[in-house]
Amino acid sequence: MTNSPSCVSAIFQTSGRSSVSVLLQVLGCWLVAVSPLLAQVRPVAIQEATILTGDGKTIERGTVVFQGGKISAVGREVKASLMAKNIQAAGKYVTPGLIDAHSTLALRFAPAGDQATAKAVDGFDRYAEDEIQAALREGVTAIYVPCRSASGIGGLGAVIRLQPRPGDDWEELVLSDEAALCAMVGAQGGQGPLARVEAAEALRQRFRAAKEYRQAWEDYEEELEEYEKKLAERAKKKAEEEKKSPSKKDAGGKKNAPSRDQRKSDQDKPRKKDEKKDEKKEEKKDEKKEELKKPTEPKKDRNAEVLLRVIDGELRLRVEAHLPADILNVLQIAEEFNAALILEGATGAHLVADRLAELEVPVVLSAPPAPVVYVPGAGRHTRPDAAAILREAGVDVYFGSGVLSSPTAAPQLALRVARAVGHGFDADAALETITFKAAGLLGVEKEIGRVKRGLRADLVIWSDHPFAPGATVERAFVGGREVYHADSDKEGRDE
Amino acid sequence: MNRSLVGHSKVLVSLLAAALLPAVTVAQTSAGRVVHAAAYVGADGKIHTGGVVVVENGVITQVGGDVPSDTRVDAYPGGVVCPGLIDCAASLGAYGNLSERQNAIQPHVNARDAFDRFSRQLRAALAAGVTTFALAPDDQNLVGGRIAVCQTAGPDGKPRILTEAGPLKLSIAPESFKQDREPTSRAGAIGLLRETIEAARRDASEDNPLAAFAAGRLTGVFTTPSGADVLAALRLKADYGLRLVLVHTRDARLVAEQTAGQVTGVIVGPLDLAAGRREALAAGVFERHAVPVALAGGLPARPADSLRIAAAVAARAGLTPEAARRAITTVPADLLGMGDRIGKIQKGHQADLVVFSGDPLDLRSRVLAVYVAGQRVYVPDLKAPEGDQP
Repeated sequence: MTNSPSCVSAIFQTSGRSSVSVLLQVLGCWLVAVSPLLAQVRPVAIQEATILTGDGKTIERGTVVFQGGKISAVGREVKASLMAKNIQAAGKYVTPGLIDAHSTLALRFAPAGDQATAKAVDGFDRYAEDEIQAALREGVTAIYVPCRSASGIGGLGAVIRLQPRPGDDWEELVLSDEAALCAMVGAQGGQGPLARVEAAEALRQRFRAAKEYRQAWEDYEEELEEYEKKLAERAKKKAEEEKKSPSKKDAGGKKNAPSRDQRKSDQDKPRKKDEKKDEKKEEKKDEKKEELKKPTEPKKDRNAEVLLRVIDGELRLRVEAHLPADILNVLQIAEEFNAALILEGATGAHLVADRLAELEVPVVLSAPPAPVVYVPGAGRHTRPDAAAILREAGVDVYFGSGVLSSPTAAPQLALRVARAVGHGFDADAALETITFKAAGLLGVEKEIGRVKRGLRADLVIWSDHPFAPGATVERAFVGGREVYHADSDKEGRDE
Repeated sequence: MNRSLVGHSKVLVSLLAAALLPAVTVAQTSAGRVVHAAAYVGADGKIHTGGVVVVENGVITQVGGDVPSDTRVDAYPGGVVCPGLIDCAASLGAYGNLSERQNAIQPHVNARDAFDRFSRQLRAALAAGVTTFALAPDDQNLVGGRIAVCQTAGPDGKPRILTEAGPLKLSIAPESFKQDREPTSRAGAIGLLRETIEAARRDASEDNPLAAFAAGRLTGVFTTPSGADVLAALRLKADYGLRLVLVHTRDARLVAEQTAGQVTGVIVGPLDLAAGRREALAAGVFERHAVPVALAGGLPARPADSLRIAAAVAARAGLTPEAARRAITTVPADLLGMGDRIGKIQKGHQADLVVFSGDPLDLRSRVLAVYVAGQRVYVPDLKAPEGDQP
């Protein structure tokens, strides 16, 4: 690896150094060169850096040690082991890898719509090296990817850590493939004035249908139980009768409930009539069962089952909405079905900030800044101080890059947050919202989002404070593996 | 309740201040005033300590040094005084279509005629620190017309035209090729342009801007989206001795070397918060080849702080901080031919100033006040909208 030249020079410059340490170094370099697996084992120590831990603390001239993909020590007094590979970072800043709470980076498909089971992780192009590189260059090491459809329910969002050429690490990189159920509310351009109302109502109907679906199953199960009980009773009766008259054979050949296949076919309505005839024939054979009607199993609906997980509080609901009226509709739906809601995009959310605060609904601001010129639609509600207004009202605010217009777009998450600070957002809280707090929002705070012992070694070395003018990412690590180095970033320079 | 009361009182105070300010300031004009902050952005683009800027009769008379006595002092502790920002590729307040559609050569068009000084866009730009902008014909015609240099506010707070005799706007962008008039192709466009320049060289009349351009007396701001367009423009310059400012971003890496020394400068951008790497790198590339770079704000089709966003993005992609600050102040003033009047905090220059709470390049900094010709024309309102309101 990059150490090889220094190894060679170490061999030739033995004078003045103890041969033991040289030997160790040579051995270490050899191990690194031989196996990338061992590279994970060898600890790395970033030294003398200003560490912004992600949860509000700053450690001046601190050291971070990581090994085997996880952070093993953080602090001022930390001593790295002899074997450790040292990275001198005096004057530089170390932060947790930034987390983009809403980004369509490398997202390659849009689901057909109204498919709660579609997964964003299946649409994420893990081979989109340039796009992943672009995010890493800005210090973003993890993103929440929505499963977006033009309207209604889109599917399941994912939390993915970024690494170019992931290979075997892929499983490790997907922190969640069912992070939230995504939906979109509001009209697209060119639709009639009632389209927005219809879109909200459609979402409500989906949840209502899911509840009805559950009810249908509960009814069915109840009926089935009843039915089976009766069957059992009858079998018992029969057995008793048989005891009394043991000459009769064939006690309860048909005591079981109808087979699964038979029940399934019952659901096909057009065929039901014909089958009923068959059934009647069958039942005539066994006249005693004639008055016992077996309940029909409701059709399986995987989409409804996902929605039920939202209603049961096992899955969060993330809705992209861009007009205050739409946002209010969504709040009402979420309240009605007891869904844990996250709003994203959220143009105009500041206009309903008090209501959002009251219902404790977090907001991910990810709409692009609006132009000065008047734009019709949601854009006219965009204002740069929306984050400040929402926070002031007591709403939890997060940031995302939102929908990227082209594969060459390079989202500037840190600058987006810096701009919010310039428009009144609390400077002390700013970094947290794209590290520790974002991890909490996505339910991965025990994995990423802080420079803390035991968490994954997703770290970024910056030339300056991440919000400072001209600050650039020098190196980035994901799971302890170096995923970005400015010196070897060909696209990043002009040559 | 308490909070809203405080809010109201703040609004009241700012309203009062706004109402009183003009009266006070007009009275003080001749006596001069001092803008006193912690630091200022020098003509070199660097931040210098000692942010004392003394203004008399709308002109800067002293930079740095001690605060003179007997003068009104506007104090901004911790602030940084910056020249008023200049967007050299804008169409703020443009009323009606900015380009003719029947003829690709429109030297007689003057953008000043499309200037709507009552547009709300101007106030939004002013609030973001943009004091001056080039109202430029768009890229639909080979020769689009004359650029007017306008101000989002004059010393009386009302928008004004600084000069209507700005550079000539040219374009060989694909949108200048039409199906229903010449040119219909790129080669045709360049051929027609050559013909036009040669005809103009034979016409010695003083009032023909094309003649002045063809003779190398008037700068042409030339939109050249591709690297090939840049090379074509440079050939025209070599053949006719033109004075050119190029509007180019995409292929900077490929043409920066050839451009060096051939043009007055290059306008790069606009760049937004999701600008591609190639676009973000462009300004830095030109800087390294010693080509003066201005960044475009693209107002009003971009957010009001678009110039600062562009500068911040470019600075993260290799443009030095000094050059980034110059790219939204000094250089655009130079490229518009107004460099001896605006764009610098220097003795003798018009006192167009923006006081930021920190480095203007740092997006965390806020606008604290805006001055035009020494008059404070903007202090932030508590809840001012960013864009047009219906």
